[in-house]
Amino acid sequence: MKEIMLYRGCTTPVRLPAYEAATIAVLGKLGVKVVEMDDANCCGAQYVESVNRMAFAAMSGRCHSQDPGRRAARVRARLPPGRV
Amino acid sequence: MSNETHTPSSDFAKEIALIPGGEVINKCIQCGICTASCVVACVDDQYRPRRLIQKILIGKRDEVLKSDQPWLCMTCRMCEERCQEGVSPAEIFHAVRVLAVKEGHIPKVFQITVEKVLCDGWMLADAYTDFNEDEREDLGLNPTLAWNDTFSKKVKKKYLAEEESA
Repeated sequence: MKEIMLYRGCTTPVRLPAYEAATIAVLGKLGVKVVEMDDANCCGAQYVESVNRMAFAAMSGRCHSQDPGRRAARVRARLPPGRV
Repeated sequence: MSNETHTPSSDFAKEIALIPGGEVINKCIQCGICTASCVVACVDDQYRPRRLIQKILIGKRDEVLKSDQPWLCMTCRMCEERCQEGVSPAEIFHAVRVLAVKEGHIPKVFQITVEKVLCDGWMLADAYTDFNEDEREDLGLNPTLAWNDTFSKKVKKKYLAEEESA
């Protein structure tokens, strides 16, 4: 069975939990197991993004690196600035 | 889609066009489908994306940069989806915000929200109540959201320290 890690974001778990449940249910029917992304942080979209691009990149970058299937991204993130 | 522009361009429009996302502003023909599609305009009759683009095109630099309006866009991109000229008001307002930040015009409420996000690790910590927990449990979802606030605090310290003291 395939596994994916789900980043829920801020709004979905609080305002639209039915979307989250539906996503998990549909993926389940398609043979994809959903693992919750715990210890996640705000992706920084819109608010942090508008005020500081580097802070935004760091925050969304951390969200991406939480997925164990994306180790490559984590390795790239360790490279010095300019190489990424 | 052709590359010709339809409208006269002010210095301000040219300035916006140099910022990534603002490039195609001069293709706007002021048809107003952005305003007609806008979810924010639906609930706020002061917020009119077409009119804001028009102000940029005619060069009302100060008025636009000091306005709260470019900060109200929710970036749902419905305007971008429907624009027949390939213009994205969402991207253009992002370019406007980049410039506004450079010149120190950030609406107070926006600044407070950024502080809140970086302090809590996410935006809706205060809005998350036991009602939401019950709803999640009823749907078979985990009621514990386990957000991380250490990383965003580090981000704040590293990248936003000057803005805080300013």
